[in-house]
Amino acid sequence: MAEQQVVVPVGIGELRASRDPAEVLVAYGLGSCVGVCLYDPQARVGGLAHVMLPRSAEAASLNPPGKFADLAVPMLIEEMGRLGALPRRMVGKIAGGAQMLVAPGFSGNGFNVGERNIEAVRAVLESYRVPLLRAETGGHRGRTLSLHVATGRVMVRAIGERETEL
Amino acid sequence: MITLTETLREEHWRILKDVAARGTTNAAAGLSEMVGRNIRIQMPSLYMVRLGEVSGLLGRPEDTMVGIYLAIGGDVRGHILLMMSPREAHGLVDMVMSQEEGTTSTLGAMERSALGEVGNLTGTFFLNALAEVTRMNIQPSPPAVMVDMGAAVLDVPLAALAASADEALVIKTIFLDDLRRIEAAFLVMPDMESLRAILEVLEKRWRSSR
Repeated sequence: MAEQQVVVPVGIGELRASRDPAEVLVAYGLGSCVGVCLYDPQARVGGLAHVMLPRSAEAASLNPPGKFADLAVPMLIEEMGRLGALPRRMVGKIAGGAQMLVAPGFSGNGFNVGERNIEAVRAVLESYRVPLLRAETGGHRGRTLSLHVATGRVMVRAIGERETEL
Repeated sequence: MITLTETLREEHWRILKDVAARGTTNAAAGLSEMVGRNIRIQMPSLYMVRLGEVSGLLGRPEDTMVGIYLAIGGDVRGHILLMMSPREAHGLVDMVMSQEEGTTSTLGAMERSALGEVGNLTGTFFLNALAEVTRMNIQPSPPAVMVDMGAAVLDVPLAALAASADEALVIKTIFLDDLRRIEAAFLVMPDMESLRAILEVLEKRWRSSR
């Protein structure tokens, strides 16, 4: 690749839209969090949200709004729109939503925030009619997710494993 | 919503530092007793940071870390997480199991169980100190040991805290023994409501004792 790649970390509860072909948006170490990659291949605009919780209505603190699936995804779609993307052209890929705690006493459904995050992300993408092309979710391991803005390629890596294309 | 950073006064910080010092000293004493060696502890550092900044206190988010997690229950809700690199965890297992340094190189069921015991003991001793000064009922859960990317391990307490707060109080310290230095971050993160309750109780006691 001729151009120097610029890695842009997207921290927990943050989101980022980009049309800079040099940028690679990365969500490091997704545990129960879900990384949502959206891409408009025609406008070559990409976005990544690093969500922590499913729904804002269940919460007492709304800061930053990007921590909730139901707020982060619409915000990401809007920010991508400002860069020339259209929701009807967008496609989605997601990873994360693992259950990190597997000890006795932590097995109840209340502890599986990862599963609820995945469901919430799927629901909000569906409401925008953004097709979910790939998902590597659930399980018990953390993952790093990255989106190459130039191509829309999405890579995922679990601990101790090689990076593979999602 | 008023954030806690804005409402925390100097007096509150002093109270919190005092409680953190008592708690971590007690945790070190418990660990010393368990391993039969003198384990010291660094003066704890306290941080009030946005949830997104917590991982920055602990190194790179993708690095493999060993996390020993306990949920805090009773009158206080929150999380305790003992975080260290696998190398430090191996050293800690050798220390706890009275083995020569370098014996442990993987974390199987027995090693994880030993680490869980360290978390259980340090966590319980810390909370006992907190319960004593606040006269509140505070109970730790059994420990859970995780080995994964640091940020993924941190998701456990952060996701639980995020519903009610945008910031966390992080108490961080390092264990040292005479022969070697086990760098483990001892994180104590009460939820915001519990933190307010603790401060209220301690402020009252502090005022009445003057």
